[in-house]
Amino acid sequence: MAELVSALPREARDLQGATAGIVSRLLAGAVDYAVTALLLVALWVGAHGVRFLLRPRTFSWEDIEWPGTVGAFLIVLTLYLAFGWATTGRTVGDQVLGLRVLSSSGGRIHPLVALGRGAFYALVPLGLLWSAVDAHRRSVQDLLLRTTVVYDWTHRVPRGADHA
Amino acid sequence: MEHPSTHRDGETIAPITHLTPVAEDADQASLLGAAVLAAFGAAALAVDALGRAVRAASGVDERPNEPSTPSGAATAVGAAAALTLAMGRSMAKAAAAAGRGAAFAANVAVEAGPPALRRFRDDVGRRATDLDATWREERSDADEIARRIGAALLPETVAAVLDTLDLTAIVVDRVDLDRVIEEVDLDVAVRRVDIEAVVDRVDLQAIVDRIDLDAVAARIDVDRIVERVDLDGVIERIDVVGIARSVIEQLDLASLIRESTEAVTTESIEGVRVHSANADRYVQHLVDAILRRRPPEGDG
Repeated sequence: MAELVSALPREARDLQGATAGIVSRLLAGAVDYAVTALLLVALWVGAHGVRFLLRPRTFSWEDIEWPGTVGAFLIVLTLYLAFGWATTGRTVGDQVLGLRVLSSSGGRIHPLVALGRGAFYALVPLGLLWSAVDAHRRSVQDLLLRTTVVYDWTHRVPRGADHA
Repeated sequence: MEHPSTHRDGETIAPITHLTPVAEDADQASLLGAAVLAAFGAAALAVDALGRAVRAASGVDERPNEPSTPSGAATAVGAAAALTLAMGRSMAKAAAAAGRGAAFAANVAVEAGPPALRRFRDDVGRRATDLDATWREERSDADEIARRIGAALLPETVAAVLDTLDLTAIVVDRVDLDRVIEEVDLDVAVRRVDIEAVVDRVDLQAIVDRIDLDAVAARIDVDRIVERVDLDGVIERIDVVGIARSVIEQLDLASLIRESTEAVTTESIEGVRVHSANADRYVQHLVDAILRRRPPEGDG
């Protein structure tokens, strides 16, 4: 059902539904990286808190090991992105920039597709740069997984995931 | 060409055309009889009408629906007419017989008399023929003059007569209006009326100005009218969404809602979004220019 009254500013109404460009998506990605970093810190602090509660006497801050931290970051990033895209179609970064990830048919993407997309972005973030070159602003991930990223400033959640 | 018509006395008289001068061979007795009869008939009618007028003026009530009986005056005139007519008829017959006898005798005398007398008779005959020819030539002029006089006199005469009559009352009393209306094909009449022209000639504004609309409105039972209106049907036919949309557009309700609800989308975030979208467009144009590609439809 079409939105009867738009609460959007006039200059944004024409944007709605159009494929998002590279700048918005990079900024959304930056926000998501920051959020993931915060999540990681929170997890790290939380894990130490739990350990402190369980064994207060033997508690000590563990040294940060970069390979493990990077791995943990990528895993958290993948899960965080997949959760956002599979539920509302947007992560916090997408929310800030007014973006939404949709399937090729315009619905919410399947959770597995969201998971694959999240992993793809975590491992090959440079694939996003293709959206600057592609005539239809599609990244490598979009091309392979048949997804699309549109401007969507509204709060409505897209219809259910495609189970095709 | 004989067109006899029967008079009420059972006597055959010549039709009115035979009373004109062209009827040269009309029987003198019939002519005279018809003339006298007509004169007395008219006199009888006039006297009768006069008597009624006098009675009406003097207040003697005469019931209108009762068939009128001949008055005393009319009876007397009628009797006098009949008597005079009988006498006149006898006299006319005698005069005609005497005329025929005298003519025969005169003819015999002239034929037997001296030649001068015959010449005189022929001379008189020629003069009479000439006079007749002159009369025939001038007759059309005389007719025209008579017609003009009649045309001049007739309207005034008719107007004077009409002034004395109450035509409306006469029509109401004497004309069966219901029958007349039954005979009239009103549909045909209405079809011939140019309604547009009639409406053009009506000053509707003046009529409206003269109407006390407040008084009219005060007499209207609005509740009863509303009860009879299918409001649901009306609302179904109204583009409520379109109206609401245009009203909201005018009010910029969207900005009001945004201000009042303070949604997650704040102005600063809107600013970031708008600017990033503009940057997207800029990058797109730049890449399109580098790749010498025409921008796809809808991506600005």
